[in-house]
Amino acid sequence: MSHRPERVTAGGPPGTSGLTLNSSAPRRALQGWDRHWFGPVAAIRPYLVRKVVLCLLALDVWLLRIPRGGRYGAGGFDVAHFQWLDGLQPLPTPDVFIGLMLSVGVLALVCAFTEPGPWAHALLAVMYTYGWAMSLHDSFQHHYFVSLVLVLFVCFPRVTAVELSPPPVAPSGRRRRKGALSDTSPPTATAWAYKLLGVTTGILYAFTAFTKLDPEWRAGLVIMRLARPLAPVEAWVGGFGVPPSVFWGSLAMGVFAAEAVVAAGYLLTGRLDDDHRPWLRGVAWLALAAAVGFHVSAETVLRLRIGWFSYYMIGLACVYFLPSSLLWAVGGLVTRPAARSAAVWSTTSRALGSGSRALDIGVTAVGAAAGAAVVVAVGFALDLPGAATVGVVLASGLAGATVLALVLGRQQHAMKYALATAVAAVVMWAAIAQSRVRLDYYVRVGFDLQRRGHRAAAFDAYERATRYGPEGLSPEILADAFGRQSGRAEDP
Amino acid sequence: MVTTVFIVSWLVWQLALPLSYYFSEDVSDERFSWRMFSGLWLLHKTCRASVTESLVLSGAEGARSVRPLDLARTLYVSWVGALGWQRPLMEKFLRTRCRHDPSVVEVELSRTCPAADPSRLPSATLRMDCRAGTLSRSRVTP
Repeated sequence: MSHRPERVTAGGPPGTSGLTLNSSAPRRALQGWDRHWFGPVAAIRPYLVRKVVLCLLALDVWLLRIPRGGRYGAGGFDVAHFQWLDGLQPLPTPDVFIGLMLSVGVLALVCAFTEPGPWAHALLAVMYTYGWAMSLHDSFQHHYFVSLVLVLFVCFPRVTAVELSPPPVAPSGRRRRKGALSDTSPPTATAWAYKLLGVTTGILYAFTAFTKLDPEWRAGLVIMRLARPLAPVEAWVGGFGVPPSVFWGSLAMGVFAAEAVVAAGYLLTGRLDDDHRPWLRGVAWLALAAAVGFHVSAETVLRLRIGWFSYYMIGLACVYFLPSSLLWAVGGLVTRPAARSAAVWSTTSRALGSGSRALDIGVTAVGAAAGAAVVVAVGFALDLPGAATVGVVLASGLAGATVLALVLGRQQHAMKYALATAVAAVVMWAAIAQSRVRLDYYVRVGFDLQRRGHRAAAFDAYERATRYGPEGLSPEILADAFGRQSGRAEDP
Repeated sequence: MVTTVFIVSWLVWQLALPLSYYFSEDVSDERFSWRMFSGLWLLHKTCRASVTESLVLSGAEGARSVRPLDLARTLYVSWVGALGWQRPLMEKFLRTRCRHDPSVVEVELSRTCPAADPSRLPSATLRMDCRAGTLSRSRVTP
């Protein structure tokens, strides 16, 4: 499977399925298959998809998933998504879940910073998937979707900022040979996994659009419940004689239409970068407008409690549907600083490597030790179940990998991953410390304990929550707040 | 060749798994079918579950007492709501209650969905015989 970006020549796409057929109709079908899956993609697209998703993922698991970590194994009971997993795993606990989420976030950022090999992306996919599979507490279908995305990332082409920066521009007035691309055309890549992700996303939208044909959706009952903020609009429209059923039914069908358009966009625009028919670009713009409009509405009007699903999908839509020229311009904001950092790193590494081997090893060892120390310190500073353990485990892993790298003579790689891990850990600490993660976590734990009659343990949790709450917050205030909100059947 | 096989297999999986929902007998399980905020989701939110446990009374041969279970004090809050419709949760919870107290001989879960059309989401009862380890289901037909 090709993983490096390649310049596409006039001879045709570099990758093929490897199949050959003799008769003409199947041969044409096979050629169409090869053109679709192995045709060129602007290399900036798979590069940006991976960066955007991995950075969002890190913040998502730290800021949105950790606050709910207290529910895992609460009351000594939990149910996995799969019966075989229930039989295999021990009872999930907050330590295990939170430790896993912290590790997933760090690994996601390390992958975003360093473009490691497929093994790192595979490990990330497995860890993230276990994070939701371990319990039916997490039945968000978009977490399953993110798992699919992470699996496909394993097969994405490995594109670095250095290869993409600066995005080349064809000089004006230069004559091109007929049928050949300019030497300064933007790099493309064979990215069948990127295209497969597009089709997978299209299938998702197609099925979710089909759901809108349920009788409750067609009648407007679901949208009426979800879009309560639009009740004043319903009343205003009702003044013109439009019955509520027509108002809500029309909105519901609007949702269906938007999802169907987005599905069509993902399924039809796989060859946007090498098929320049105008209608294809039109479909892409329409799909982009539908996707952004729908998901922005989901967040601002419907206020759906779906985590950051909308942001993932808006990010994907922008990368898949925007013209590559626009992506190159925006992507330059990421690739140029990244390429400059890589150049500085390369120069520094060469300078260190030109000295004695002992100096090289010493610098690597000190660097890795410093990185490990940062990771351990962050783990202990977080004050969350499982965090200290994760800090020690990650630091031990870093130390072990560094020793292995030194033995294999790959000091530069060790330093790169040590630095990336330390930076990821610091970002994690900053994100959690500057947010309500710890306050929300301990309040939820306290509420659950109080509900189940464990008042003393609940007060312990409230006391920890007050360390991260506003001035004047006390365990008594939180216990009273529980009394006011109790009776809800939903997770607060 | 390997890549093509992977692509075809992946596409088959992406189509077959959501499609299987529409051919499944258990329409309450919408996981992996991309049915987000469906009509059934709306109906499920109105479902409520109650659980009772039958115990054999010591001394009195064959005599049983039935006690209702305070779900709010037993389960995490989101499980209480989901117990009305998530079948894997219902089944495991009943098995867990059997193991929790050896004197419990039967655990019964009753599910009602007052806002739903009974033909779409009927009231149902799940009964776990703790001694035999068997589960039986019955539906309240209109």
